[in-house]
Amino acid sequence: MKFLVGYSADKGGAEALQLAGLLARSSGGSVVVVTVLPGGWDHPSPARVDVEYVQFLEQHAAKTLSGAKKIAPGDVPAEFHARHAKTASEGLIAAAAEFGADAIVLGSSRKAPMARFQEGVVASEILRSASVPVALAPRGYTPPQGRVARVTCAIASSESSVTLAQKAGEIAAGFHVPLRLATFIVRDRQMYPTGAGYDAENLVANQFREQATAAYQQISAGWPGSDRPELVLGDGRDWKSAVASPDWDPAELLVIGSSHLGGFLRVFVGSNSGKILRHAPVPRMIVPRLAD
Amino acid sequence: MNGAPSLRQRLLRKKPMTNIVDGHGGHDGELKRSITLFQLTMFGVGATIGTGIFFVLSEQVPVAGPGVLISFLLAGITAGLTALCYAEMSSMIPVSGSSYSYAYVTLGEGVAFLVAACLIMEYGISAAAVSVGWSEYLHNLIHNVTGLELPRWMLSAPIVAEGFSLHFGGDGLINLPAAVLVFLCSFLLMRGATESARTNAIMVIIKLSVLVLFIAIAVTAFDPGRLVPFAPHGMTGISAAAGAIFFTYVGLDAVSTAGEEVENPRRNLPLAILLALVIVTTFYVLVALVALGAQPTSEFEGQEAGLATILQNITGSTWPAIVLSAGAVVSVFSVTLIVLYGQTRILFAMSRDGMLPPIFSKVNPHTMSPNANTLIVACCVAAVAAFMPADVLWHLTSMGTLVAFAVVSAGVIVLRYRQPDAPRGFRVPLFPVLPILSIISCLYLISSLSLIVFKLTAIWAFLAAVLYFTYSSRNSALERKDRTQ
Repeated sequence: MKFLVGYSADKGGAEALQLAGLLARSSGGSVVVVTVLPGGWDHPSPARVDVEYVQFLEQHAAKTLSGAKKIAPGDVPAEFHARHAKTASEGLIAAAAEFGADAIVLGSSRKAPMARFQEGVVASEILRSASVPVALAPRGYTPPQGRVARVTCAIASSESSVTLAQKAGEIAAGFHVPLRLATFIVRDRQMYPTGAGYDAENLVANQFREQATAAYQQISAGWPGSDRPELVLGDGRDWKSAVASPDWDPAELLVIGSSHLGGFLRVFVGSNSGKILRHAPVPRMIVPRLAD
Repeated sequence: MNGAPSLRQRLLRKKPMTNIVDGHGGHDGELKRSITLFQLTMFGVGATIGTGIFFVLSEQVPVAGPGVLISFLLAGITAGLTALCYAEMSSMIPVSGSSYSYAYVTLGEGVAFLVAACLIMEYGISAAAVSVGWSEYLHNLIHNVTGLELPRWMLSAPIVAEGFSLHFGGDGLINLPAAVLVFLCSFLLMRGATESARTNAIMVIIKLSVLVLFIAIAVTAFDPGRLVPFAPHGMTGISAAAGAIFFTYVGLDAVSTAGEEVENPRRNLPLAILLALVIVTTFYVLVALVALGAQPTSEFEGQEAGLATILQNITGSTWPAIVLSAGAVVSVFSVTLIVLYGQTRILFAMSRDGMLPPIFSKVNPHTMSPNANTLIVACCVAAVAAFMPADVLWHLTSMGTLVAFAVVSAGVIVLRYRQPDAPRGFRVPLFPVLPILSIISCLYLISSLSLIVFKLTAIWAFLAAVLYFTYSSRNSALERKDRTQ
């Protein structure tokens, strides 16, 4: 598989590059490091006043890419390119098409807590419009030695989980590792319970658990290969503890479907997928809206 | 070298050519020798036409009468001569650089600083001027579409020019739409907006279409009797108007700088300049001619959104005015964006050379856009647009550009003698007659500009000199290099 890194000369860029290295090594693939620059005028102008600015951008790109070469993992084939585009997200999506990348890899905004992820402007725009999966490195990410050890796919009880699980199965097969399915259940603790009392919330949670198990069974029954995925339940008082509750291998990759994100991560920031995306302690890969 | 260099050494020191070559070529050479004669001509037409012509008649017909038609020709001839000289200058250095950098490499730091000061007038002041004109057409559009009349206090500058002085006493308190436009464009620039060749082409088509619409409608009301008397103020009026009108040809020099990317530059460069000039002048003269035939000379003075108003008066209906104003609003918006972009990039280049404080070349690490620079430019240009009268701004733009072109024309002569064997992609014909004519015509037009403009230019030159001697010459990258040697 070919992984395209949206590289910037900061820690987020370095972390994305490390993640891409791990993914490429695990799949026997390669890394394409791309840094996107704004464009100058592409036509003659009086006094050519922006030439020095464009030259500065090119020098900056050369410096950025040589920095990337220094920290790129030595055991993975890598190429380095600069591209001009109006915005970084447009440039990366165009580059992904140009190089035939299987996924775009990005780093986290520096606003995220350590080992968590928060999307910056570029990541949100790419998640909204990319047609290839997008892998995201948590803040402060240092990859484990070796390869991806397991792929976990977050499913809910909805129908689209079947398609998502199959897609995650393909990704796991690409890395030659087992797939695990995960469902996260949050027991909503409100200060004032509904008229039905605190127990009603447990009823809701239990119902959700049953539905998730049913979805798992449906996935499992229709599973094409012999190595059916196992199911793990993450249970907690809030999303943070629910997502943290299963055991996570440091070399794990979490797959999330963006169909749950409604395509607009920022708008549907309260959605469950968005919360899993924020709280997961391992790198995550967002699979674009699947054709249902 | 011991201690600080002398003033003479500072003014004459040149940036080594390698600095300007560094880092170039990231475009994969895609632009190399790829522009055809037709494209280049269209670039020239696109960069030149359509901002000034929307505004200039109401200012200059009262000065020259129908003789303004001759003024357009005089200004056009000057523009052509200077563009040819500029083309030779541009073709001397085989790599890209702005005209500021050309001057720095070939003629030294002093001339480079002077060129930059002129470029700030060509870009920064014209951005303000263009946005003032935009404000008129926006108001016309809003009024015709919605019937709303915006309050006068927010539509024009409080300062007016009279003879040698500026004083308060204008109709308004502030030109609010102009200032808002400047900030809006700056915001877009910070977000990474640039103009592509395609947008540029679309804008050219919009501008030409609305001008054709104007000509087609206004010609129906043509009365040749209105062209008499042709020159009520004689040659004085005609040349005074020519100086002011020169700004409508600013942009033709875009053709000159494209030398290295043009197929067969020796033939195509002068031809493109000539063709673009003929097309642009034809449009200007036709627009002016039909406008003069459509209404008495006395009605031009103070006419806001002139072309739209003329159409409205002729047809008695608002829709042609709406179409014209909408075209003007869209295309002038794009011009403001380009001109502001240009202004920020000149300051960026100067700051990289140490001629301006480092804040002008500081970029946002994610968007790589010089945001502080853009904001400072926006504040200055918006203040000028909001408070200064349009006629002074147009004159200042003409002044800056004419001075720069006179310097370039002189530079062509100097370099022919100083570096006779240096390779030149393009040589001006009829040397030295043509560059001398170019200088004379620039000086002639400069001499016809209004008094206040000389005063403002002198103030600007003084401020620029103070900046150069107190900051730029001491912080120049070359100074630092001199000291470390």
